[in-house]
This record gives sequence, structure tokens and C-alpha cells, in this order.
Amino acid sequence: MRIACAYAPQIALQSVLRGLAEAHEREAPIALAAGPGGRALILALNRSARAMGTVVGMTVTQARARVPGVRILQAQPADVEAAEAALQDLGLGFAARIDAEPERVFFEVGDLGSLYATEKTVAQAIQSRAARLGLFVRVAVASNKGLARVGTRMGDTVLIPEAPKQAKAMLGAAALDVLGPGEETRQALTQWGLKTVGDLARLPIPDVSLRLGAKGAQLARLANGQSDEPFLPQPPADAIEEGIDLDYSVDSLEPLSFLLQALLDRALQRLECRSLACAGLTLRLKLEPRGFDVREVPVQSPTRETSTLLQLVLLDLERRPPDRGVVGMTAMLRPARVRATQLDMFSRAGPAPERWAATVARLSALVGPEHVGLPLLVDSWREEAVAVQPAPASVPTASVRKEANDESHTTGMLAIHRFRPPRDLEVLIGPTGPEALRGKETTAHIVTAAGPYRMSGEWWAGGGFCREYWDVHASDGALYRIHKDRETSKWYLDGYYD
Amino acid sequence: MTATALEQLSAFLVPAHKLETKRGHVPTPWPTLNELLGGGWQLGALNEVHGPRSSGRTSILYASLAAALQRGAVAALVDTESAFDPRRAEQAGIPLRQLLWVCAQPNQTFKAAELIVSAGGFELVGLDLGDYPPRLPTAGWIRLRNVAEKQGTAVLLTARFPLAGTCSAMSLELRQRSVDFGFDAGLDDRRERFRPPLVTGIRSSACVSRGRHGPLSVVECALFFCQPGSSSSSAAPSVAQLAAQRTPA
Repeated sequence: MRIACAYAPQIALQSVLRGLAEAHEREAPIALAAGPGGRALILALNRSARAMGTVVGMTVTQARARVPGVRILQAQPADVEAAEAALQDLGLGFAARIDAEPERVFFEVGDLGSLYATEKTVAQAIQSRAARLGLFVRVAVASNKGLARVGTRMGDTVLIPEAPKQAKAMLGAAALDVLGPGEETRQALTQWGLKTVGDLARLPIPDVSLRLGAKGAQLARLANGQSDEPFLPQPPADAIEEGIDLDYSVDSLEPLSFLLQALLDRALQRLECRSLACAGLTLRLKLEPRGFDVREVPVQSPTRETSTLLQLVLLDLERRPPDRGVVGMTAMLRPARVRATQLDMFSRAGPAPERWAATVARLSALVGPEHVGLPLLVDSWREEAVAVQPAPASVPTASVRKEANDESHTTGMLAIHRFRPPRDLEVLIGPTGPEALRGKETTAHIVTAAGPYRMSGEWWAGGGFCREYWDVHASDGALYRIHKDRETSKWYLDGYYD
Repeated sequence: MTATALEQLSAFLVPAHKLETKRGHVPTPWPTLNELLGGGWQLGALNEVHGPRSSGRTSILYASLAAALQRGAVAALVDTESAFDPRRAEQAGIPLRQLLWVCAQPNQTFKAAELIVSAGGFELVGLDLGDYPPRLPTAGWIRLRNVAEKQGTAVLLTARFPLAGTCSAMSLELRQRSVDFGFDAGLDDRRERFRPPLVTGIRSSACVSRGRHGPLSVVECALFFCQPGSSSSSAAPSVAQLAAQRTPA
């Protein structure tokens, strides 16, 4: 999981600057005051005002004396709320769920690989979109929320590596302030003679915890590139949450399934009261002794069936079991209207959408998700090339219908039963071509051989092929398709016509 | 029971040989084969197609799936040996975007088929068991048959040998009669001596080796499976013509 943190420093000042239409107005020295009057304290300054000597904590009168042209503005609560909402909208523009706190928004960016080439481009895209919203943000991307927050204190665009050791090495030279210690903790660390994050990382965590408590232990883990802070996305306003805390940890699936069933049943009953169904499920498992396992269970079509949801959750848990015992569970269900399906009076109704989704999920759990789906033609000259595209969310139906007994179609097309991968073969070559073949599948004389048909390709993409194909009618009655690799001179059995 | 009561009772009874008519069929593209099968593959039952290699069982499977999908039905294929060829399937008329394809290991095949059939709504589920089909105890076949019957799905098994025994409602045996080779008419005289032969098609005959209801038929149905792009895509010859051309295996 890769979490991005967008941090809008001095969001109160930024909320005021957003209201200024002209660029030269924003570039002029501006100070944000706590209230009206000359004795109001300065809370925030823009770069121009700071450069001219104004500092935070001055009174308005002092600021005007220092910088006569400084413009004093007051932040309105509505402006700040609007800026915070804009920051959250920024996160929602990149991910479906966000975890927001004052001046910061966290969201998952690990799945944006198909849209952006690198994490750096993701960070640049976030900053660019923030600029369009009138905000300046610092962006950090890390493996967890704690490190992402630390990254926003280190620079404008910070990418912290995924491996804890590399993250620790990156943080080593940074000042202790990036970890965000409280005043008391900072004084204690300074008294110990620590200056950088690397100095703190060299101390044993249990000893730091003994002297500074849980907060100190958290800082020491951060210095080592670790963090237990969970990414807890906020539920949408109409989401349903049901949770349960256990008296002892559960580490096997069977008792967990009983508890899950009761949990899901309660949540679905609440949805049913609102005439809604579940369109998505987030399961948060509280692990022993600490930590969370948050997992998204995809639901392909809205459902109200406890058995279907339970099956999908259990399949996900079987595929990726939690690595420790579970001491609590929370299920967050996203509601959606039940989709009405328009049936056709003149054709058979397909599987119900929720049955289709559950069946595809069960098949995926049985044979693997890469072996279930719709067959796809691959743009390749290799005969054996094949791909599978994931099954759609709804039952695929035809848009054009033909009658089955089309009288013009009285001859069938000859199909081929392929061997994947092609089987090794030994072929005896005579003056007119292949005369006999021997392999694991068959050993036979060749009655008639049709070929050779040469085919080559993909040399432009590297790893090309160059083959010589034969269709041979063997003495065992079968009509085989074989080929010779002209580069290695090895023979292969591709399949048989059937 | 009195004669009157028996007469009244018989009004509610359906003779066994009429059950298939009530249940319905999934027709194949060949009218002659449909006639042999009594209308097509039986809905709500197991149907088998067996024969040696290159007898046409895969072609029949693809054609049946194509016919069902083109009529707007929902169909699936469980493939034991990952032998499905999308190019040939598309040439056979299968709309690839509507076919659910499952590549299963031998020990997963029947479980996958059962999952699909029990979902309901599938008109035809193909089960290509290949040359080395996995063993399934009789109880497994009975369970699959019962699920198909409950959901009204036609399950079409293709294998080298008959497998389902008494659990299948229909068993069609295929025999290869001949393999046709031709020559590409497009080649000119200069290349005459270099021209290789082309496979133009396979001729087979089909007969019902086992049917649950009705008398067993000894009538054979001739089928011709033609290579895509071949010029000799003629209609299937009669059985007499096949008998005249029959070549020993």
C-alpha cells in the first residue's frame, strides 16, 4: 500500500489568499490576524511579508510599523472550512476514500500505476490539481500514514521508499522536528544530545519507550521507518458501520465466520430498513497485540444477501489470511440502490446479478482469478497466444440475436484442441517430409503431411519466433498440427484438429 | 384403485418419452443432428459427446456454444486442459465477449462446473474433459445431473470415452470417416511443383449410442467440419456416400 499525504501549510492563510483574484495581490505582503484591532496577534504570513521582516506573534501595530504596506486580513471560519473541503476534494480526485485531518489529507495511490508512470508524476499531478484549487500543498508518498506525515515536513515533494531500511536511511539526516515531537519530548531528546532522526533510530526502542512513554516509542519507530498508525478512511456520510470487540483473539477462519455472519447480518438489516443494498465492503480487523488489517472486499453488484457477502469476505480471508490473531472487527458497508434488471419476455433470463458476482468470485477462489473470465484475442501471430479478460460485473448478453437453425450453416468449422504449452516431439523426416512422430501424446506413422507453412514474427519486439508448421494425418487416425522451431530445430506438438 | 380414479390420475401423468419435449432442447446448427438428438441437447440434463481424436467433438462443442450464444442465451465453458482456441472459436461463431471461460485443473473441473450450473440462468455449460478426463465417482455425476435438472441447464461433456454412464440423458458417439486434403487453387503453374497439400476438413459420422428415452437409433448422421478459408465447404454428404468413401482406420 502506498499512501500519499497532501499537506496545505497555513491553510487559514491559504483560504484567504484563495479569495484574492489577482496574482499581484497574492504576491504582496499579507499577514493573517487573529482578530480586529491593533492588538490582534499575527497568526500567519506569506513569503513577501516574512521577507520584509514581519514575524508571527507580532501585533498588528508592530507589523504595520515594520512593513507599512502590509495587508492585514482575517480568516473567516467559512473560508477555512471551504479550504479544508477543497483539500479533501483534492484527495477524492485521486482515490475513492480519504483520511482527513486538519491541514492534511491521506489517500491511497498504489493503484495509480496505469495512469501515472512514476510516483513523482503522481505527486506532481497532485500539486498541479491543488494549484487549480487555489492551494499550495506539500506531497509525500510512503508506505504508511505516519511516514507520509513525516515526509510532508521534509520538503515539498518527498517519496519515502517502501522498505523500512531504505526509509530509515532516507530519514537519517533529517532534523528531529520532522517527526513532530511535542515540546516536552523535544526538550528531552535535545537533553540526550540527539540532533537528527538517525540519532534517535540508533537508540533501542524499548528503552526510549521506558523513558518517554508511548509517544516516544512511536517516534522511535518512525525514526526506524516503521509506523503502526492505520490508514482509516472516513466512511461516506450514509455508510453503515458495525463492529465487534472480542474477549480473546481468534486465529482460525471457522469461528471468525460465525462472528462475521452476525456482523454482516446486522449491517444488512440496517440497510434493508432504508431499502438499500451493499455495494462495497471494507473490513477492518484489529490484530493482536496491535495494528490493523484493513481490506477492501469488492462487491460486483449491490446485494442484500448475507450469504453472498460472507462468502466474498471468507474468500478474501482465505486468499490473504491475517498474519496475527484477530481481537476485533469492523465492517463498513457502502449503500446503493438495488438495481432493477429488465428481463426479456422472449429469451431465457440469465443468472441474477448477485448470483453471477458470487459465482465468479467462487470460481476465482477455486481456480485463480487469472483463469476465469472472457477469452480475449491477442494481437499476435503466435497461434497459441491467448488472454483472459476479467469477467464483467453483469452477465454478458448479446445485442444481436440470430436464430440457431440457420439453414445456410450446415457445415461446421473445424476446431483445434490445443496443447498449452506445446508438447515436445520427435519427428522422423523423410525425402517428402515428416514420416513418423513420437511423443508423450502419441507415437505413429504419418499417412499424409501438409506443409511446410513457414511463419515468423515479433522479431521487432525482441524474442521473435520462426516456425515451420505441418498438418499431419497420423496412423492413429488423428490429424495433428506440429511445428518445427527453425532456430533450435526442435519439434513441437501444437494440438490436433477435432 | 378404481378405473375412474386411474383415468383421473393419468391426466396428471406425463409419459417418460414426452418429458424431454416438455423440458426443451438446445439446438445445434445442424438440422440432421438435431433430428438425431430429438431436437438438440436436452435442457436440464447431462449430454455426452465422445469419440477419438479428430472425430469432431471439439467442433460440435464450439458450434453448440455458438448457436446458444447467438440466440442470446448465457453459456460457459469449463476447460480441463486449457485447450480452448479463441481464434477457432470466433471463426465458429462464438461471440467471445459473451462466453464465460474457466480453465480448471483436473481436480477442480467438476467443482467449477457445479458452481456454474448451480448459479442458474445458464442455458448451456460445456465441459471439455480432453483425452485424459478426471475420474468422478457416480455420486458426483448424480449430483451434477441433479443440479442441471434443477436449474434447467444443458451440460455438454466432451471426452474420449463415455463417462457419465446412466447419469447422462444422451450420449453421442463420433467416428472419423476421412480427412480431406486439397490443394490451394490460387497457386500458379510456376509454383505447381512446390505446392503443398492443405487440410480442407474432416468427415465424421455421429450416432446416438445411448439415449434415456426412446429406442436406440442405429441411424448415423454425417457431419463435415471444414477448415476455415477452405474452398471445399460443401454440405455434408449422405451416409451412403460416406459408406462408399469409408476408409479403414
